[in-house]
Amino acid sequence: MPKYLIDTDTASDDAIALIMALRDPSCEVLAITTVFGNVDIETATKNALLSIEMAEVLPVPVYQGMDRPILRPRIDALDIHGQDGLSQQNYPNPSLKKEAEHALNAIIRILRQEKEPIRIICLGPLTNIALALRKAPDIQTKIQDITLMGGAQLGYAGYTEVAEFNIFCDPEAAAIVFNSGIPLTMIPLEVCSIGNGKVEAITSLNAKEIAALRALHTQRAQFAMNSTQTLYAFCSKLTGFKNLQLPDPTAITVALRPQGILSSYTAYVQVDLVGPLTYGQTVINVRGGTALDGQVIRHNVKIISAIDGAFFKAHLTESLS
Amino acid sequence: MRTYIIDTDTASDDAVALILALRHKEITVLAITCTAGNLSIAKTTRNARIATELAQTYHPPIYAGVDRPLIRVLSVGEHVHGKDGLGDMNYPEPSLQLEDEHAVDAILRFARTHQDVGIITLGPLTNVAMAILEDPKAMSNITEIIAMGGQYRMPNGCTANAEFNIWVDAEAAKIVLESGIHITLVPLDLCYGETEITKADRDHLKSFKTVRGDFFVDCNRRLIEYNQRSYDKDIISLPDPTCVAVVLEPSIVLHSIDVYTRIEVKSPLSYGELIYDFDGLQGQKPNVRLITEIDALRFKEMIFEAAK
Repeated sequence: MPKYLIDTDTASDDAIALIMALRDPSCEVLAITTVFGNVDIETATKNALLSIEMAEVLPVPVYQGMDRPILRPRIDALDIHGQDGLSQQNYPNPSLKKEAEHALNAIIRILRQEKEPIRIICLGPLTNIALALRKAPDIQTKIQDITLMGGAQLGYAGYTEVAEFNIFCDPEAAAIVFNSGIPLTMIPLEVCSIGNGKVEAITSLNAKEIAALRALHTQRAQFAMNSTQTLYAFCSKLTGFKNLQLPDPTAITVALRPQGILSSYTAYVQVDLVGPLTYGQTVINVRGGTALDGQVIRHNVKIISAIDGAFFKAHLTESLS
Repeated sequence: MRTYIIDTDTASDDAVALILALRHKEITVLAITCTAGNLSIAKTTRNARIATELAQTYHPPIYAGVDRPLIRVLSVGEHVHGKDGLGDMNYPEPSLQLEDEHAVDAILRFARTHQDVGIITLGPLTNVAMAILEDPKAMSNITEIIAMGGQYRMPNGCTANAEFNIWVDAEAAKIVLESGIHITLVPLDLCYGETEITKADRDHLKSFKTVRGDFFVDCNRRLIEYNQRSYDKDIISLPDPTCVAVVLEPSIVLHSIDVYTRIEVKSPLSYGELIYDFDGLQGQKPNVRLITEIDALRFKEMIFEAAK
């Protein structure tokens, strides 16, 4: 059975993603590491612990990681997920406790002690992975691949006109990971949600589908739909019609059940670190060979360009049942 | 009658575009101004005169303009269109002569003396930017700029995220975008997909047994090779003609987006990328109408009609 580390800036859609991964019988989660991003680090850790309790499985250890980006000022997404990241539902404090070890050290220790390479899923800014790679370059060979929710393709708006939130939170960290040589699978935001043409994306949930999940009458389903109420309102306002986009759960389906991938391609992806208008953009070069400036183009990322919405929703429903 | 100046770095697809414009009865081409881009200014001015003669209609005055970008070193596209820009077919010297006046002066003179002139740009925006810098008040008389340039969602038009015309002189494009003149952008995306001139289309053009039918295919010989190399497609892509088609028959546009558009000029990775504010993040009024879809069948008919 493949073993996973999941790195998360746990807010509402991360919480669902964690439940999906923890409840998947084909997946062994060795640890969950938290990072700033959607919310501050303490909130992310608390939400991760709560999500494990809601998953109703054997607990996995949670390690708290970086509370800030490498270089830039920290931003958050409280307007998208609510002040507590979970739509302010007044959830009780989780009884599970975080581990004392720092996430960077936990990532390094776990990778070193495992015999076979581990798969990593990143649901937030890439700061923990980037710094772990700098601190212990030897762990690179113990990482089978990294599946990350983040980035955007050319012509799609994200957090800025051209940069997606997770990457924009820490572009320097993203650059370290994209340049690392580790096999990467990237799920761009628009593939998880909606293009600028205001067309309903197949992966987003409509009101009827949300009602159907609520009708499962499980604690998990109620938690999932309650926690995403602020996100639901945000998505609906942004697009002009009622819908809930779930980027991180989509990434879990891609990582755990690749049959749900409809199309993908490889490309040379670099992160723009200097453009006043393009800071944090994933610059996607689909050509091979040599660039105009003589630089050799090596494809470093597999980009998911379409996901089977029905397959994803079936996976989601199974996890919340 | 709608009146336009056409600014062009005349290579093979520009030549087709010029002929398309000159043979259309709904518009008048007041002047052709040449710029460096696909080729050096010596070659673009030669090719503009060849195309004008081949149109076999009227002969607007043709002016030579700026020979290099405002700030950067000129990058040419001889690997795309051939050394002479017209498929290396050894077309004879044209007999039409260039005007003495500088293209920038000519643009400004027309802008001052006419109230209803638009500018169609088929190359880098250097001439137009120079005119704006020199006399913005005169240029405010320009009714609109319709530019072939920029990317929409197609990667690797030139660099990963920038298209050639804009990338060659992004600083000039920035001046034009910030000028206040209304801009219609016809991105590179539009000449790939259903608008591609396939082998069957080329056989159709050749079957006319006309000078222009042959020219449309032959002058794009190198472009066919380029598309084969770059995109693994046996096609002629016609970016500049799609731009002219949008002017000639506005109804050819099936979808467009009004959007506030800026340009990145500082980043080595993203130099020349157009930044579209589709979600209104900047709270600015749109300065660009971005054309995202045209009627491909009608476009091809227009090409065939101009070839007959």
